[in-house]
Amino acid sequence: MVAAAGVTVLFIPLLALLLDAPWARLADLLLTPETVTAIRVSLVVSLSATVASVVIGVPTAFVLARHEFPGKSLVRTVVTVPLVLPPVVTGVALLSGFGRRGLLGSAFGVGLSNTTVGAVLAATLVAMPFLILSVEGALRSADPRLEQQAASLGAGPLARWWQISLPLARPAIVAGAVLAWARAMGEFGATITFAGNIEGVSRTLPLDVSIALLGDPDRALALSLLMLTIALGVLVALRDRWVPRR
Amino acid sequence: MAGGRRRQPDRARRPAVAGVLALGIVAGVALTGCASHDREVLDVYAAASLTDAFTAFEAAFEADNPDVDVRLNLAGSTTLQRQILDGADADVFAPADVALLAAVSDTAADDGEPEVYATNSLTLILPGDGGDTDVEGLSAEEAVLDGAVVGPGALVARCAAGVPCGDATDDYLARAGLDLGAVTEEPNVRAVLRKVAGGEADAGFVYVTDAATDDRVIALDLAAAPTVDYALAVLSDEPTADAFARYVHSPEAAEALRRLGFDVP
Repeated sequence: MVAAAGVTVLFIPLLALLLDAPWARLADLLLTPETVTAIRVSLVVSLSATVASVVIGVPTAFVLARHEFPGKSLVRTVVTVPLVLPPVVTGVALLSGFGRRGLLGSAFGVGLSNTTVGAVLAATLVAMPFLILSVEGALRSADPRLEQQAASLGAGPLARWWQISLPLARPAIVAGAVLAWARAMGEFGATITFAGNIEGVSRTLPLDVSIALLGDPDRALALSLLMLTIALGVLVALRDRWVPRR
Repeated sequence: MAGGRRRQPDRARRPAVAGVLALGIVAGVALTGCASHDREVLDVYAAASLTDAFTAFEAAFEADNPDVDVRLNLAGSTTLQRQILDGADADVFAPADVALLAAVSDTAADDGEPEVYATNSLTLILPGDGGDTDVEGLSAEEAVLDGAVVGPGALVARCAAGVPCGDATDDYLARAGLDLGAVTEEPNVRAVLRKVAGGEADAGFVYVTDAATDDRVIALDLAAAPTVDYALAVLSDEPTADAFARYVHSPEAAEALRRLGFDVP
């Protein structure tokens, strides 16, 4: 009963969005130069953030899952806190750190705020925890005896990592990367706070929705429908993850 | 890894977690209840540029009417209008553009011509504390056109089109024949002010009154600066809403508006 009622309540807004969408003008609204530019910025920013999350997140998850060292809980807190923090706070923190007048910005005379790199940084910060949690969990539940046996057979640490741990974690890396990419696609608060809302630079699809809401609500609905389609696509691609085959 | 060792503390922690959750919910409900306790709530939706004026009005009106709790919703006028059109329960709507009142006038209780109680004009602000002498005496047109301050590659913050301050900015740019390079578009005028005051943008278009609230920016006069008119609509039948509207049109409120830099007709 509770589940049925809850699911219905959650379903209503999405259904209403479909009913509200300006279907007849959809193509016109989505093929404007502004929208195409926003899609391009969104893809560049979210894919760059995904790559950065994998490159930084996989080794971090490995270290967190396999090694004990002083300050480990601090590292884990730092990499996962953006998951809990309101994104706008993450944006304010980024301004303090890398803004034009931030800690590093004033030291080096340049800031990363209001740039595409800044948008990637914001998206990476909020997206990477999804990858780290996914990969760390997989590594923890993997059988440690496999690595011990490989070691007893003479495999060095790098070989064990490359030939045992990484293949074991591969499904989790893929799932984590897709989740991180989806989170980066949807990122709004940290981006608008730190990277601004600049067409062709930092105006991703969610930021474009916020602009469209002010001037052209129909375009906002069309963009929302586009983002909903992308979100559903991600869920369909990942459905085997949520419905375990074993 | 050491599954048995981890399970034990988890189980011990469970009542504590439940306790914290329960405490949080109870505290939240109690605090929410306190806020509206026994007082009539008056929901006033006001433009972001009216932040300081209406915050002062709230204090003065509540001092005169202790049984009324004025609740301000401060945002870009367009955002507020959308909220009201979508059914938000506003008692008073005070946008920065008289034209925005028309769409909500169906639901408005009073059908009279909206009376303008204040006007404001657009200005160009730059980050700085006034110590930068190289911009002293410079007009905004010189700053923008000659690239003295807002050169190529500079970032200008402005309100998005559709918001009153954004439409005023478009108005000015079209008349001056100016084309800005990199622009960050914000949902309301205070967001523009924050970007420039924080040094994240090189210049920005705000109202004269917004520029006056922050000593981290310098304001340059615009030739034939676009102006906006403030009028309000009473959207409920509550006598308190009418009383608040009368207060906004009172000499006392006019004095407060003038002090903040508004022009009062």
